[in-house]
Formats: sequence, C-alpha cells, structure tokens
Amino acid sequence: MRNLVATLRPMRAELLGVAGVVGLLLLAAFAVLARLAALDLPAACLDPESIEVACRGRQFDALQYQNFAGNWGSAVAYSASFVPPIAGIVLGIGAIAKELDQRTAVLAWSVGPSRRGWLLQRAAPLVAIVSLVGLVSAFVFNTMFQLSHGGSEVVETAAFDGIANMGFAPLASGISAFGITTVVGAMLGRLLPGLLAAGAFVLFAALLIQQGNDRIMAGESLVAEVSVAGPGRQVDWLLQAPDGRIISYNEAYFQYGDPQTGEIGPEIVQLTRYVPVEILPQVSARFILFHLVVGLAALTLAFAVVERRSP
Amino acid sequence: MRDVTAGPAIETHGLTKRFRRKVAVRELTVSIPIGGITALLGPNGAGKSTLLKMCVGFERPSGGTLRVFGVDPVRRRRDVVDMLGYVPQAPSLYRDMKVEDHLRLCRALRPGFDIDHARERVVALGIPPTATAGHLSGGEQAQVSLAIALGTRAPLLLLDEPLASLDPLARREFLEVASDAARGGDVSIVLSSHVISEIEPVADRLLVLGEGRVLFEDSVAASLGQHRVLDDGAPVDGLDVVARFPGQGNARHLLVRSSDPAVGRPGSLEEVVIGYLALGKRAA
Repeated sequence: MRNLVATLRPMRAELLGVAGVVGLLLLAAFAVLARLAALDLPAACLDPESIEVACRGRQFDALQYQNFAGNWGSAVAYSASFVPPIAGIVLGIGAIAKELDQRTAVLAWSVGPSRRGWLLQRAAPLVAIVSLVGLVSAFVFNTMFQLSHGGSEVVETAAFDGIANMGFAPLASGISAFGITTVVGAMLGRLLPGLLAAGAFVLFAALLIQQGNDRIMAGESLVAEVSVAGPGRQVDWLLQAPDGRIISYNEAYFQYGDPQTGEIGPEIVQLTRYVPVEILPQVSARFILFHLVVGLAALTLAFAVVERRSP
Repeated sequence: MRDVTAGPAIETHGLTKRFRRKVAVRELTVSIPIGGITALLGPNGAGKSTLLKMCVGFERPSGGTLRVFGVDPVRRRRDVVDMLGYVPQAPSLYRDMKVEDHLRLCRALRPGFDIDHARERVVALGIPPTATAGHLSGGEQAQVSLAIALGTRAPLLLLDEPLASLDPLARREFLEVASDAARGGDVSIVLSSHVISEIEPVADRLLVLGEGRVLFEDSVAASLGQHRVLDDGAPVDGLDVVARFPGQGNARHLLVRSSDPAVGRPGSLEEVVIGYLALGKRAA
C-alpha cells in the first residue's frame, strides 16, 4: 500500500481530475434523481396504461416527470458514456507521455532497474481505477436510461443503442482508451501531441469496433413478417413478392401497386430484418471483448516501446 | 551478483554511437578503473553525455562493445542499472512533489534503496524533505539528485554534467558530497564536466574526449607531472609538443610532454586539458 501511494503520487493531478469528473457525474445523477423524487409520484403514474385511471389529478406532474427524465436523464446518461474514455485518456497520458515530456522518466528509469516493472507498477492500479470509473459510469447510465425510457420493456429493445454504455462495456472502452493513450504517449513522448493523437486514435478505434460489431450483428439478424417479428433492433424493411423473391419498393410499386392510390397490393408481404433481443448479451460480450483486446494489445505494445526507447 | 571490486568499472572497445548523420562517439576504446573519481572532460558535443547514457542503457551503441563491470548494458540493462546511480545534467525531479515523496518513490522503484541514507544526505545539506522540488534552487535539486543516486548504494555513480547550471558555491558543495562518497571507498564516480578548474581538487583520473574520441587519459597526478607549458615562441627543439593553445588575453602557449623542471613551467590541469582539446580540434 505504501509503495502504491508512492508510485501513484506523480499522477496526483490526473487522478484528482478523473475523481472530479466522476464526482460531477454522480452529482448530476443525484440531482436528477432528487428532482424526480421531489415530484413524489406513485408508480402507477409512470405506467402509460394506468396513468389515466390511477393518476387522476397528477397528470401535469407525470408530464413534468417524463419531460425532466427524458431531457435531463438522457443528458446525464449520455454524458456518463464519455467518462470512461476520458478517464482512460487522462490517466494514460500521465502514465508515460508526461514522464517523458517532463524528463522525469530519467529518474525513474535510472533508479528502477526494470522499466517493465515500473510500467506495471503504475499501469495495474490505473487499469483498476479506469475499470472502477467504467462501472460507476455504467451504473449511472443504466439508472438514467431507465428513467428516461420509462420502463423495462422499452429498455429491453432500446438496449442495442445503449450497448456501449451498459454492463462492463464502459469498463472495456475505458481500458482500450487507456491502452491506446499509453502506447501513443510512449511513442511520441510528448504531452500535447500525445494527447491529441491519442484522442484521435481512441475515437477511431471506438468507431471501428462499433462498425465491426454492427456488421457482425447484421449477419446475425433474422427476417420475419412484421406481425410476427419479436423485439429487437430493426435493421431493414423488406418486401416479399408472391413467388418468394425479395424485391425493392420500386419493383413492388410498378408490378403490384395501384397507380391510382399508390398502394401496393396485399399479395406483397412486408418483412423486417431485425436483430433479436435474445442475442443482446452475446453482442454486448463481443463489444466488450473487442475493446479489451484492443486495450490489452496496446498496453503490451506500450511495454515493448518503453523497453526500447530512450527517456 | 557481479564482482564490482575487480576489473574496470567501464570498458569500451571501438564504441560508436551515431544519431542519423552525426557521430557522437567514434570508435572509443577506453577503460575506466574502479575507485575514486574519474573526470570525463571535453567540450560540448564531445560525446561525454552519450557515453554515460549508453552506460545506463538510455542509448544503444551503433557499434563496438561496452561493458559496465563486465556486463553489457544492452543485453542486460536491468543488471547494469542495478549497479549504477545516475545524475543527469538537468535534474529530473517532479516539480510538484516533495523531496520526501521522491525518496519514497525511489524506494518503491528500487528494492534495497536506502531511503534513510538519502534522507540524511538531504537533511545534512539543509534541504527540508518537506520542500517541493519545484521550489528548490538548481543547486539544491542537483543535491537531491545526488542524494538519490547515493541512496541506491550502487557501486558506480555516473554524474552527467551536474555542475553545468550551478553557481560556484553550489558546485563546491556538490563536489564535496561526491568527493566524500568516493573517499569512503564504496563508490566509484565518473563525473562528466567541462568546468575543469572545479574538478581538479577532487578528480583522481582524467579522461579527455573530443569529437567522440579519447584525446588523453591518465591520473591527475601523472597528467600534471608529465606536462610542461611553454610560452609561444620559446625554442621547442627536441621536445614532444602536444599542441599550441590560447592562454589569458592574447597569449598563446605550448603544451609539451616532459617532466623536466628545466622545461618551461608546470601547467595547471586546465592547461593540460585545453592543450589536448586543441590537439583534438586540430586533428578534426
């Protein structure tokens, strides 16, 4: 413990900054919850089906609740999603780039016999801190998301949109941001250029992982008639001709449409391509895995760079 | 564990270091013995810092061999750093950290770091351990760096131009601490500098580098005893002239290899070194 404090002491500014950001997030979440609690609405008022009957006389408050939760709850939820990558970048840049930029790595690398040991000593607790920030962020996001979506049923289908912000995903994205920033910082050895380049790489990696996951997810989608399709993420609308072919809207219109009304004939079946909600855990796990692989690969590379470069 | 009482502390054979087109160290072959203070002298760009950085594993040689207590710092950097204490030219302290925090950090970084010894050194110089490094003077920061190097209890200290930015009093105090440590017998010191006059009272050996080459090496006593200085224009027939070098004002002198008291006058260490630097410049 004594050594841990001493090892992290050079990064006090970064740690305080991250603690400040997390504190602000929790404060904002608490403010939203406190405001909604002050309305003191019975649970029946939050259920769209029973609101007319059970919430007589409190409709205005219920509307206020929904507006506030929808606006501010969403704002806090989506703000929470930025916190783990920001924490990863801030702590990642402090881990190596700041030491190289301010020439303090000379002290560390000449006193400590092992550079790998030096990096491990500081990276391990920082990864733990980023993970904790990720869990807090996920908790805040989940709480605010449920508030702003007004019920578990909606959350279930909308969860695909929040996949990057729920469960262990923020933890993983924080670790990937930390790893990328660490290796970029180790290569450039400069604070500001390292920060800018790391920000760009973290954004690029996040988009790449998102796109990759979406593509794989599209391959796992199902096609079903609209009336029988289960809950999930809508990927595409399709039209099926009587002979079973999937056809475009234009084709359907010209072959089976009514030129007078513009309506397509009843022989055309409307289908939906969707990702069933049942595979949400699998999709989420893959998203987490991609981020963890990127983060750990980047960290491994950072160890190699630190081992070879001059301070 | 290596035997750090036998063989040379640092040994190089044809050691070369290139930075793109610039050759910082050129086929350097040198042996620095264990014990005492070896002064590594030379002008800026002579390769002094590069040599020390290669010893501590901060730079990789482009060619030749380098051994520290017989160990290759490239292949076994960990073992070499374990045997070294290093003080860089610009103190590499954390500006917002207290001196005590530095010592604790070093204890966390290096098993066996003697925090009490380092703290004693710092306190003895009147530097409070609670002082923030950024608020210390250049001399005090250099002293803290030296105390940290001594706290490693390493058998070899590499001091890379630590005097460069210090005022005369701070230089004296720094050299006094370094000298005391070396006289204690447990530590060999390689002190790189271009402030020759300050080093003279504490150095045991001289190693003069110029243009990445060894221009001269010997003990300080032998250096002074085996060289004489002549005023320019004096007859030099039969004398082993090293080089002509500038003196005070417009005067020019000659450095010759001779221990004959009848030849010229005894030279100061500064004159001997400047003579060899002039030789190196002429050769380049």
